[in-house]
Amino acid sequence: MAILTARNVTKKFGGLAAVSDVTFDLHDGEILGLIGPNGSGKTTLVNVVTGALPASAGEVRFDGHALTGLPSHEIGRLGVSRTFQVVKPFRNLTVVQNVMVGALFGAVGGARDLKTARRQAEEILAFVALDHRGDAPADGLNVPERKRMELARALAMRPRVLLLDEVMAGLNPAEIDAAVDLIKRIRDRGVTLLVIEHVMKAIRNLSDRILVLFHGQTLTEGAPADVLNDSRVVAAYLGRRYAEAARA
Amino acid sequence: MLEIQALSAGYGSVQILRDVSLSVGAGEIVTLVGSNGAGKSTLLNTVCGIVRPSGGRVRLDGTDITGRPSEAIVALGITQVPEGRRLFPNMTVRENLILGAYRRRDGHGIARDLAWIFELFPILEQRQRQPAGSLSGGEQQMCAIGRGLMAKPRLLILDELSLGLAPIMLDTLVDALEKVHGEGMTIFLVEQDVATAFDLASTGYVLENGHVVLSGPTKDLRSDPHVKKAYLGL
Amino acid sequence: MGARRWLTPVAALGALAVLGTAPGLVSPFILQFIINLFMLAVLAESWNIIGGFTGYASFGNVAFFGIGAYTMGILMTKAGLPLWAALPAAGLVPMVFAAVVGLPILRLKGHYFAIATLGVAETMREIVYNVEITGAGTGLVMPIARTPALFFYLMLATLVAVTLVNVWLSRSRFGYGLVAIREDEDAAAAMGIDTARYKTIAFAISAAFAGLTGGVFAYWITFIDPDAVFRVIVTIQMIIMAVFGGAGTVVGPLLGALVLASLSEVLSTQLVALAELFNGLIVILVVLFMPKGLLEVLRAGRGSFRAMARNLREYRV
Repeated sequence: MAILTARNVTKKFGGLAAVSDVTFDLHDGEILGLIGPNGSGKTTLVNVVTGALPASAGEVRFDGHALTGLPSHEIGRLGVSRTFQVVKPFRNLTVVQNVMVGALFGAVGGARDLKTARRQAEEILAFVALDHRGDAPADGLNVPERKRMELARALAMRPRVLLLDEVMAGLNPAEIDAAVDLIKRIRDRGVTLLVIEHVMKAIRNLSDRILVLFHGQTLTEGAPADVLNDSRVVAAYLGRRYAEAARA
Repeated sequence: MLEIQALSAGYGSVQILRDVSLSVGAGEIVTLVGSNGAGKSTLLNTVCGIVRPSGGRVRLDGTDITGRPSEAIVALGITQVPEGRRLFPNMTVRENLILGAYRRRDGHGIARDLAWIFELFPILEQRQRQPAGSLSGGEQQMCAIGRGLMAKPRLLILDELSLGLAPIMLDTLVDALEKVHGEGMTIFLVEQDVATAFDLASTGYVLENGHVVLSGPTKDLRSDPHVKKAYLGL
Repeated sequence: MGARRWLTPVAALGALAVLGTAPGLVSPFILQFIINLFMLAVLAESWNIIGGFTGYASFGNVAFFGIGAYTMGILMTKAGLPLWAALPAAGLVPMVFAAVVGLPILRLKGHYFAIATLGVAETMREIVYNVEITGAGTGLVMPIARTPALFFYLMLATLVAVTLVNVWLSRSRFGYGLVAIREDEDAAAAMGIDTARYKTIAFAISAAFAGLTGGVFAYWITFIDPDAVFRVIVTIQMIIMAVFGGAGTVVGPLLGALVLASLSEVLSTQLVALAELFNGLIVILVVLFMPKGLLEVLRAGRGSFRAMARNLREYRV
């Protein structure tokens, strides 16, 4: 059952279409992987879905509401959250305070007072294994910790749909495994996910389905095994070294 | 060409690097791999004069450059392509590239090298009048490498080449770097993507917790069981 | 601990009680200084709401001060209203003005916002200069009130009110929203914060208190003209005091006002030449040694000097 649908979404900057006529469904409880070369429109698509950018054409619907045309804070209130490719911590706050903002705002029905918000934030931090850094200043974290805080903040918003933008960038293989595991546990909590990634190991292990963008348009979509072996995807995105390694 | 002997360094009271030794021979491609927090950035910062070491020596072609300021080290012929590209986003691709040749005075040489960069990366020639910030991640990486090469360095250091890049982009960059190497450039690649690093480099060093734990020809390191498990995710 | 929680409010009430006896005890000169100090403290503390918590450094809050002064003036002289009717208006009119002006202006960020707000203040002065009802260049003469103690208590009450608002901001959901906007407005919006609404409310509350202060000031000095109440130096003073003490904290701007107003008073009598340089010197000091304000440095306790040295080093001086 599709809880988020995008129909013919187009986003133009001047004459250039960054996203062109993209249509997809996000099914309840699934993890949809979104891959494509740099500049293929993945982040732009997420920006349009979450209201950070207005669509030039097309419609996005979520849970019966039209998202296109709504300001981003209202989309957040409806239950759609996202992380940013370049993380945006609230630097002068502590880690737990950062997550509290998510708990206080986010989807309707959240904490109205600081004490409850703090409790909820601490629970989320424990879930992402960052509770030991709760009182640390947000700008004192290392790369994997920053990514996990960004994730915790988005989770604290009680989303039904969570869009992750390259959360694995900069992580080593062991950290990637831990992140994949964490994302699966998020799905188990009842969150539907759309994951943008370049780390193929993660995409392979996470995705129920994969959508491939190329020059702003849908190249193909389907089951990982099919998509990742598709010769057009190899030619446009995966490259010969990946194909050689996959064969080895 | 670059020799690092028993280098120790850190920030304030926190010691990051302990007794690190490695060498990059002239005309080689050498890579240093390791996880986040292993000390790779600290090592580069120390070599390039941003951090003062607490012990050990860094030598470039026999000259001791330990603790010298960054401007002096750049003047001696080390150029770094920084992590995350760090282009000047509001300047055009062409302007970014020409800025790479800031210290040079040979107009003809600069023009010739610019043509060479455009041969290596045709897409840069196509986009040369676009602001650098409007390029995709892979194109920006090409521009950053081009900018580094325009300085005509003796040693090119690449910090996290693969960060946030699509697999196919890496193919293009690896091919380009092999070509550059073929023309005699010495390259030191600091990298988290071990597979790509070992494809490019002939010699590798593995850094963990500030120590070098493994080193040797990359074709041997590739089959080392520890490396396979911890870094190649196999 | 249960007892601890009551310490601050009790101490504050005690201090207020002591302060309350001042009019009977101190000389008129000192009383005047204290009233002026309260006024600057309210201005700094109210600027803190939009500048400190929300991170929108308004360079035009004196506009609200002046509008409040003139609202008071016009209502008392032309409409013959008594104090207790005119004063609330002195707070309300600038508040509405700020909400309206804020619609376009709060869309600007950083330097552009600062310049636009500065422009608003300058424009207000020019408008008042040229309009009949405000007495134009000639100004307004207010009814005389014989008791300086009245102004003392009015300013003190306003100061208590604005401080309580700051306290509320520091522990409320709304306050968290403002801080999130300051730290990263895009992320704040993505997290469900209606940034336009929150910014406007903060701006309006800040304006209301500036206006109230202006109203009391007008009645206190009994004569106002555009140059008296739309002085850019007042904006600069309130910003420097807030930043010097610690923008974004509850107590910082108060501390800043206390220290700087006292210093400035001493200097203007002892070393007039230095008084001219005063504001500039303070700005340099803050930027080099204590960018987060005096409060932050004091909190480091014994580590204060080390903290200041570290700040200096970070700026590579």
